[in-house]
Amino acid sequence: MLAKILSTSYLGVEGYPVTVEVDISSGLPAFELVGLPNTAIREAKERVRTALKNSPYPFPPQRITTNLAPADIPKQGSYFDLPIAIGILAAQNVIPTHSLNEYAFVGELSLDGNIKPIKGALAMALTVRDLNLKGLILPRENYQEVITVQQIELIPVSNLKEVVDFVQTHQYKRPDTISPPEPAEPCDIDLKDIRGQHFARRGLEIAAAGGHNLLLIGPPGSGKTLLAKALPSILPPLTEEEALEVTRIHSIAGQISHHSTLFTQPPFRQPHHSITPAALIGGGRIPVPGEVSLAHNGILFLDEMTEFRRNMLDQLRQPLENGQVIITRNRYRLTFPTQFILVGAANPCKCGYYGDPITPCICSPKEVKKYFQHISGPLLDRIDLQIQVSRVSGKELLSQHRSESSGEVQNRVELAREIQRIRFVSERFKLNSQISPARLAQYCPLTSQARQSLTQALEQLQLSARGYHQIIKIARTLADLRQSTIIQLQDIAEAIQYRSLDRIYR
Amino acid sequence: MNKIELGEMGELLALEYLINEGYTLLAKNYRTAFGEIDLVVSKDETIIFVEVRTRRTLSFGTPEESITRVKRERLIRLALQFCAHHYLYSQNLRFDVIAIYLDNDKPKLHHIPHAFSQEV
Repeated sequence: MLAKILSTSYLGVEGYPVTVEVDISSGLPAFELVGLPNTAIREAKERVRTALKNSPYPFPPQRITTNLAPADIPKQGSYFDLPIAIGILAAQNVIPTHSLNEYAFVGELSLDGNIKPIKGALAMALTVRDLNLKGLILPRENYQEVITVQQIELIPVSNLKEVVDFVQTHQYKRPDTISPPEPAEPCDIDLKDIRGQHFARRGLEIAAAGGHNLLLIGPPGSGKTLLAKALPSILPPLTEEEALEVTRIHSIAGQISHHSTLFTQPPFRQPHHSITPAALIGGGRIPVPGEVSLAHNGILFLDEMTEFRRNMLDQLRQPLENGQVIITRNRYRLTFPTQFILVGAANPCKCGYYGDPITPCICSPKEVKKYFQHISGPLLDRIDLQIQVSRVSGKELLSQHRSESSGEVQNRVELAREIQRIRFVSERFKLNSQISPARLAQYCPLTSQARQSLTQALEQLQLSARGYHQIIKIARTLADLRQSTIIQLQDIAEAIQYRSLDRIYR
Repeated sequence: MNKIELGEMGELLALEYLINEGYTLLAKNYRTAFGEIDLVVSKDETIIFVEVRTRRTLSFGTPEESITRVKRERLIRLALQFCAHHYLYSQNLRFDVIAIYLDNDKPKLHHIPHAFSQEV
């Protein structure tokens, strides 16, 4: 007897349907599993056998052949345990089969028949929705994660018996109280707690408003890390579409707590400088998202950026430029989205005090020059805002003058973003930093004065074409923050001074 | 009582038990060039190949433990040969183990239905 059970899997961030076919025939007792399973799936045999026995449901002493179709895509993960077990029961006619093709099943079995949480539940629920199926049977722990997918019936189950009961009666235990989604991790750093640093605060505001990349350079203890960590507090919350994208990636990477629902705040990722290329960009035999994708729609913060290996930083160039990484394996190409704001923090030189008014720098001019060569030119060229963070003086530190709070800055950022949303409504990109060179003239009208000073700067600073474009884009954001449609001289003038590295290290 | 006598006694005890349980005997000590199957019985349209293990002492492990992978593979080969020999196709096959422990000459019998299957 043959049974077909629907399930889903994912490759990259896209889900796809999988049909689990189970055939039971007479012959030498054996349990065969085909359809390019990896080790975790192959071991499903023992989990399914034991879970069925302990639930207790019959496990036939017959020849069981299981196929995971489409058979040419390598599959991984433990979430086929449940569909295989249900398939074995259906093939023995232990459970009715007429309604099975309306629901998809995913879940990992433990030996006692309990169902354990899986990775990527959100991607799977979205696939089920796109396939126009009636519902998804999934582990109870994953329920909160997918609760926002409302177009399909979500049936949370905690053991095999509940699944069988559902298939027989179409009744299931609804979660008694839907616990309110855990408040997003409060951003515990508020701009109002940061004294002084007016220049850097302005930089953060621009970065947040236009999605520009930012590099903070300053001596040790000047507050670079603190400033970077305050950036999430002024970013607007994610839109529903962005939240789905972010949660889907985190769900596939298994970086999600089972108590929270959608991400509402932009993610903030801070990889250590010992990170490997695969962990940064994404990779593996069956590729999983890396830090750049986990930072999608949020912030990738590289503290002590000069300590990262040079080739590691250079790998960021493609994701920064294209907003996605493409990972190619011999059977398929996967695209992971990587629209993030890059925030780097670094000391100005090896000893850390170059340009500091108090502590003298002990580096030789050659060493100073060499220090930033660690970050390659092409990467630095992609960082629009290069900001010097100087030490906060004792007077500023002790002053009772209240700094502006994150909330106030966030309001201005949201206004600027709203202007951009309306302006780019028919475009594929959303933020000023993503304007393509072809559209620059259309979206960034300059006054003649502004144009003149830009031409001058171009000659004097020997800017690259990209540098030229970036100055215009930053000026666009500055104009948006002022709520002006035309870019004026003051915007251009301010934008130019944020490209400070060229000036200092040349 | 030597080893051969012990084995035969165990097989008789197992057969007695199986007949009491409603199984039909198909063959006893089915022997080929590869080896021997202790008992072949049938019940509910399933052919069951039974390996009987008899032990007098547990100092060398329990009877159940003494069935190694090689032994299992040999039994599977023998079973296929038995089926071919008797023109038995598309039948349900099952491998059982009956472990007998002779404690103070009072036998303890443990029947393990579907003890193993083909490893793929």
